[in-house]
Amino acid sequence: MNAARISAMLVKEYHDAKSNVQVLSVVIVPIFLAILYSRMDGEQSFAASFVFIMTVTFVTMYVQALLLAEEKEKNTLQVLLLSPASSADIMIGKSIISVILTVIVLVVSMLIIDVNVESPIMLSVTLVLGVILFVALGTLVGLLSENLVQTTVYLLPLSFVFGFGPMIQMYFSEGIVADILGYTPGSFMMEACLAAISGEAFSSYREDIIWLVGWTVAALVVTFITFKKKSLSK
Amino acid sequence: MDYALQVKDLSKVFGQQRALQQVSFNVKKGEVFGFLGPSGSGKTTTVKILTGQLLQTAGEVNILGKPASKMKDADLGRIGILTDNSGLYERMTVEQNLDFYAKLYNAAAGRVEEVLQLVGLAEDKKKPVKKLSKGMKQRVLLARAVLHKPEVLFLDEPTSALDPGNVQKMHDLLRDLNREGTTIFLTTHNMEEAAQLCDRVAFLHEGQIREMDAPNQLQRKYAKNTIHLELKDGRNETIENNPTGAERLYQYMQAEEVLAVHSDQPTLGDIFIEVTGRKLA
Ligand SMILES: Nc1ncnc2c1ncn2[C@@H]1O[C@H](COP(=O)(O)OP(=O)(O)OP(=O)(O)O)[C@@H](O)[C@H]1O
Ligand SMILES: [Mg+2]
Repeated sequence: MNAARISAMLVKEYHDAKSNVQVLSVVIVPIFLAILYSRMDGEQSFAASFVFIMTVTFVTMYVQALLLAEEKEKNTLQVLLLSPASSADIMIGKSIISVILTVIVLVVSMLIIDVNVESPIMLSVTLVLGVILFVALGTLVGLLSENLVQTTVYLLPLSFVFGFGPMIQMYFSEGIVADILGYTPGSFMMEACLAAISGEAFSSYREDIIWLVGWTVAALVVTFITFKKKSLSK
Repeated sequence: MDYALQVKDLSKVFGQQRALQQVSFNVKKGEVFGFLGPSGSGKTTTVKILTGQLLQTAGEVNILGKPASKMKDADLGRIGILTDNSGLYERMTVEQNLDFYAKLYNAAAGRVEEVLQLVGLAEDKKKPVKKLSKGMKQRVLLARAVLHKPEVLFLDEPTSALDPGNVQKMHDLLRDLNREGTTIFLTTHNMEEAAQLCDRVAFLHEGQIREMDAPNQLQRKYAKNTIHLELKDGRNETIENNPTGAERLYQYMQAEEVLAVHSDQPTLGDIFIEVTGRKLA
């Protein structure tokens, strides 16, 4: 790893992303939702948790996947791989930019919704896990798609199944679909966020956190194997 | 002998197709080596194998003394590559693109400004790449490939989109770089370019090297023993370089009919067609 190269990657990503319409529109979605929720009365903790999940699926996963797939489509990834930058430098640089964007959106939407968080540490733990998980999934999508159009084909179902489980679950009160959706990362994130915001005892959502850790580790492993297989590593 | 590239019995098979067969050549450090051949002859495939982007089916390929497939990140910093599928960041300006690569390659400070001057893009450095013409993009790609003054430079048809003025500018740039020690491996369809730039050329045809030597050696080898006459009445005549020919030339000169006398020196293009029995693409 080389700090100078990673920082060069970051500057590059910043210059490139600031005029990227796709990235900008993806960033707008959670903020727009946050504004909408802040004007409705209702459970702020639910609104906030919902916006957090939207943020990791839409901002973190989409941005990561879009940036990677675009480098493939435009033949710039090949150039990076032929440079003295290591594949770790390249992937870390990319991930940092999606994480920075995510953090900005998370903070802004939290300020907009103005939610009172009882256990900020546990909320942070949950969000960090969510961000790592969706960075990994976004990377996976970016690795598997050859161009931007393909990215969308993978991202849509993935964000529904992995992210929007709890929202879809509302339409299935019981039965096998509801049961399965209850095991998706989005559902565990939702439970953990709600509990952390309202300050429930950790024991009541320990299991959700453990499941979330499991998903995150699994996503990292699958992504890493794909990365090796796609011979993006040198 | 110090070699930048050593290739021995290189073969590459794509499915049923044999793209390269038993290709062998060495390139000395500091040499400009031209790899010439028609479309589909295997030039790009060779460049990809030499730069570790593709694995050969058989044979040995060494770059700077190491197998090409085993190049590490640090080794990649010693080579420069311009291929026909290199990309740039389209939303970023020319300068932002080059600044980025300069940092990746740890290029000397002020080098970006220098290469911008060399490729004639100093005026356009604030333009986003997507607003550039094809020839301008190709110059940015070349600028990027030489930012770090690589020890070995691979150029896959570097001047295909350039106008004659810019081709000249690129040639000057490459000559200067070569004078400073860069070994250049150049593929091209353009025989004139090869004749001007290359110390040695190889003719590739259907995946095999058919001829390899210095351009002037090849010209000597394939020289026809004839002399070409242009006469004042507009006729052209080819005469043998022997006493019979001398007799005819004497007669024409006596009659003051001769406008010009040319030796029939073949161009690289003529030789290529003779070697491969095929028109250039
Ligand atoms: N990835 C690949 N899969 C299958 N066949 C390939 C592949 N890459 C190249 N080939 C084949 O190998 C042969 C050599 O191709 P190559 O691109 O090396 O030619 P070239 O000399 O660079 O041609 P050009 O002057 O048009 O760039 C061609 O017949 C091509 O179809
Ligand atoms: Mg080619």
